[in-house]
Amino acid sequence: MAETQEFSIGQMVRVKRLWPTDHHRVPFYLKGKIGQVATCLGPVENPELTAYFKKSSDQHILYRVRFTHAHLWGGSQTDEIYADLAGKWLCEPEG
Amino acid sequence: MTDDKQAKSHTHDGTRGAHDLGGFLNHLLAHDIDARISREEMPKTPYEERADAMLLLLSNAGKGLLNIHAMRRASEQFTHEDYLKLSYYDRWLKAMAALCIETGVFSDQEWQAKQQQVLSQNKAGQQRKSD
Repeated sequence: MAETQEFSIGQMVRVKRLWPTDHHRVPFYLKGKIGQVATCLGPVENPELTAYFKKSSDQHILYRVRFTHAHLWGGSQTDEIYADLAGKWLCEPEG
Repeated sequence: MTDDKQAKSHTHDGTRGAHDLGGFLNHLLAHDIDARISREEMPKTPYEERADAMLLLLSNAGKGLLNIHAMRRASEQFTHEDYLKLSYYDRWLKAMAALCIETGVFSDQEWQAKQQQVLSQNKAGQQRKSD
């Protein structure tokens, strides 16, 4: 079962504050940070299962999220970085 | 780097893998890791090309023995010390061996025995050279 798209373009999202020791594709420096959904890249295979050779039809919906350097590292307000993150790793900014 | 204080406090708390160093310069410096980015093209050594070829063969879609996510996961399971001291292709080789053992391509005993065999062959070769 593929996840369905749950975030819209332009929406502000927070990266979940989770620290599993299992393989996952979210860098430490983004956890808990707030960004804006730039685009939805659609479904991809779930690396959290593939990494353990687990066969599953489970797929992740991947979003490209924009963060400002200012927010991440106190740098420039105009510089930005983009990260491709699975929907299951995103939540409402208050979340 | 305003998060350097945070980086220090997170260095050994188990939430941050040795692979997950983005944005934390002090962590690299604390481990005596050269954080400079070399702009020079590095020559590829024969063993690196063989490591690359092995990974391609093992990742072959038809056989499906390895995949890139499992490769990353295997590297993330190294000790911090191993992860940080190994070169890029040494990490690949160590991860490939770990996954081959995990998936039953060869056993840990076979792997250990082969390493011993190669080591003693090299030793014998060096002995002949010096004679």
